[in-house]
Formats: sequence, C-alpha cells, structure tokens
Amino acid sequence: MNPPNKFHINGSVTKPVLKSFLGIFVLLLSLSVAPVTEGQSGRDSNSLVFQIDPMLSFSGFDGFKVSYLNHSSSDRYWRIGATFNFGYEYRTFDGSEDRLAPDSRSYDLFVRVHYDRIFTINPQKSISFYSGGGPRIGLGFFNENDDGVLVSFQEDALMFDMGAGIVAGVEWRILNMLSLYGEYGLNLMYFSHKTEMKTSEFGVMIIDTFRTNGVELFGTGARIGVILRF
Amino acid sequence: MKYVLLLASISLFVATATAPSAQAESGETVSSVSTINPGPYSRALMFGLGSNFNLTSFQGGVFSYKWFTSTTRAHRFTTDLGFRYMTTDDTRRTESEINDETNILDANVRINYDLLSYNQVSRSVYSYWGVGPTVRFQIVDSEWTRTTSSGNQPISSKIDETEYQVGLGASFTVGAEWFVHSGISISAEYALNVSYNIANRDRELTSGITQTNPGSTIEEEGSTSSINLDGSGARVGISVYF
Repeated sequence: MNPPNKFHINGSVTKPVLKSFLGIFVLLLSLSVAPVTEGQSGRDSNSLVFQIDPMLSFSGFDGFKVSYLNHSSSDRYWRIGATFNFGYEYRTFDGSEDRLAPDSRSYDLFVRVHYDRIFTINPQKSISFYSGGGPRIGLGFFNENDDGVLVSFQEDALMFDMGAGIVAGVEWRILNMLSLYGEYGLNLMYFSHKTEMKTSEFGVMIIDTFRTNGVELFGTGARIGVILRF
Repeated sequence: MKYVLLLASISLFVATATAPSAQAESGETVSSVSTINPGPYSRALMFGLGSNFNLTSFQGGVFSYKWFTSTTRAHRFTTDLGFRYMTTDDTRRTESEINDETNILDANVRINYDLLSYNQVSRSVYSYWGVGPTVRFQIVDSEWTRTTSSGNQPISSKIDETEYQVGLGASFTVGAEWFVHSGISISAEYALNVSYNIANRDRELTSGITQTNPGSTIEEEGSTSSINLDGSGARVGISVYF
C-alpha cells in the first residue's frame, strides 16, 4: 500500500468554486506582502493546514482530510492530521441478456492519523526552517460482492500500516495569519495486507488468499501547502 | 481554473519581487543588492518546478539542500533514498492448491553534489555554473517459490534472483537564478551528465523440488557495463532561503 502521507484538506474544498475562492483568497493575501510582526506564532496559537497540489490548486484529494497545528512556543509546535476515505459503489447490469453478475456492491474505508513534533530553527525570520517527526498509523478495509446467477465473486481486504516519519521544510510567513510552506518527508513504515477472494464459477469454488507484509522506507516528495492561523 | 491560479502565482512572484521590504519601510538604507543577494552561510531548501508549473522535488530526490560559503560559491546536495522489504503469500485453492511465496528486498540510494560558482549579472539575477560527482546504487534481491499440491506430495519450483546496479559519474551545470524575493529565487539550468554504470544479475532456477528430491538447478549470470552521456534538459527550481 502506498500511503497517502499528504497534508490534509477538507474534501469539500475540492469543489471548483471553493478551489477558485481559496486560490484567489491566498493570492490576495499574498499580494499585500505585509511585514510580519513578531510573535504571530507564539504560545497557544492554532492553525489549519492545507496542502496545495502540484498544479497550484487546492485539489487532488480523494476523501475527507483535516489537519490542525498548535504552537507550544515560538520555536516548536505539534501538528496532527487525519485522513478519512470512504467509498460505496453499487452497480447493476440491467438490459444484459446473459448477465451473470447482475448486482455488484463494494465499499471501502481507510483512516490514517499522523502526528509530528516540529522544531523551528529561526522562527523570528519571515522565512524559517523547520524539522521534526512523529508516528503514523493507518487502517482500512475493502469489501466487494458480486451476486450472479452462475458466477459470484466476493473479496475482503484488510490493510494496516504503522511507522514513523521525519520532515524538513521551510515556512514563509506572508501575513500574521498566513504562511506558505514546502517540505520534504521520509517515512519508515511497516505494512500488512490480507486479501481473500472467493470466486464461484458454474459450481466450482476458487479461494485465493493473499498476504503481504513488509517494511518500506520512502520519500514523500516535495509537499507545498498553506497554513492559516487563527 | 489552472490558468487562473497559474497567472495568480506569477502575479504573486512579481508582486513580492517588487514590493518594498520591511526594512525599507522602516527607513533603513536598503541596498537592494545586499538585500537580495545570497550571502555567506545562506542556506536554502530547493524544490523542482516542472512543466506546467508542477511543483515537485528537485531532481526527484527526497531532499535537496543548498548553502553558500561566500557570495559567489555554493554547494548543492540532493539525495534519493528508498528501501522496501516485502513478503507475500498467495494461496489459490480449487481441487488442488497452489501456493506462491515471494520475498523481495529493494534498496536504492543516489547522491548528487554540485559545487556552484555564481556571477552577478544584474541587480537580482545571477548566472552560475557547477560541477560535481554523482553516486548511485541499487540492489534488488527476490525469491519466488511455487508449491503445487494435488493429492500427492507437494512439488515446488523456485527462482532466486539478485540484481545490483552501481553508477559513478559527474555532472556539469550551467544556469541562471533570479532572486524574486529576499528569501526566494527561481533558477533554470541545463546539466550534462556523464556516468559509468555496472549492472550484474544472478539467477537460479530450481524445479522439481520434493521432500526427497532437491530438484534440478539452472544458474544464469550476466553483467553489463556502460558509459552514458546525457543531458538533463531544462531544469527549473525554486530555492527558499532561511
């Protein structure tokens, strides 16, 4: 499983109108380029974090994702993010004369949580460098049932991963309430998948069981995003 | 939508480049050159800017870092790192049973270093050239076993394969960097890479393995070596100084 490991954005933001609104909003705030006063990220300040996709728009996220950031001091803070992916699909094949699988239902759910403890090296500057790390954990499942007259298919899958990651990035404070950031990340994850597929074809049952376990070290690539403080 | 945001981002950069700095507003005498120029010990994270303004990692690495030791000399370090160990067990049951077991180890590391020499062209634009070594190593070790049980004793076949690649090279870079803000620059560069690569593969196929028979084995071994000379094409990046 290739974990998303993205910064988080509310799924509703992927609507075109809101994408446009947020893009223009960030632009207008950025254009003002107001000097940043000290202490804007002091103790007990809170933030929401949004990731910008590679095309500089607020899209590219499939699912409900939310992130929160809290400063415990001017040079250190923690952030926690959660990702929820849920899908349900129902298909029928009406009109087919020789339909073998008239109904197909599938649903999946994936939840991921990651926490990072972040340390900023030069928080007094408008552009500061930060690094940190923390644990990540994810759990999900998938189920599909195709109920046919002569052929039926059932799949159950369970996915789990856990591990730790480190990040290093730069944050550009454009306004007291607004920052842009870019960061690199490296994750070390243990993952485990189990899938069982049962296929019945003309009375013959085939059972396929697939298990995967492993350890993976991988880079997340560059991630660009926006931090809104309140 | 993408074009709107693209224009917006360009406007942002232009606006930030032309906006008065906080120091200027406070009345200090600001030399724009000294404000914008990279000084000794300036440090930056670098990000890639691909086609259609895709924001990516620089040179595909997991981390890219640049630091200046003087106003005309900088060091750039980019690394890529990956590791994966995975076991799979696939069992297919009908009247007989087929079991596939796979173990895969895949590890790779790549390190690029460039020593860059800067020359000021105008107020905020620099040209630079650079040279540096590149090291790359990858190993893939896999083992695949298929066991078939159909009432009699199980019969197995097995493939062991180990492949590694080593590359040593150097890159020559020529580019220009535009400091659009005191802490942000956009660079564009061409690079020419020359590398010597060695790849080696060992393969062992064993079939007819039973509890009493170790089976028959076929061994294969091959290696290739090559010298490559290739250009990187135009490479655009963003450096954020801190």
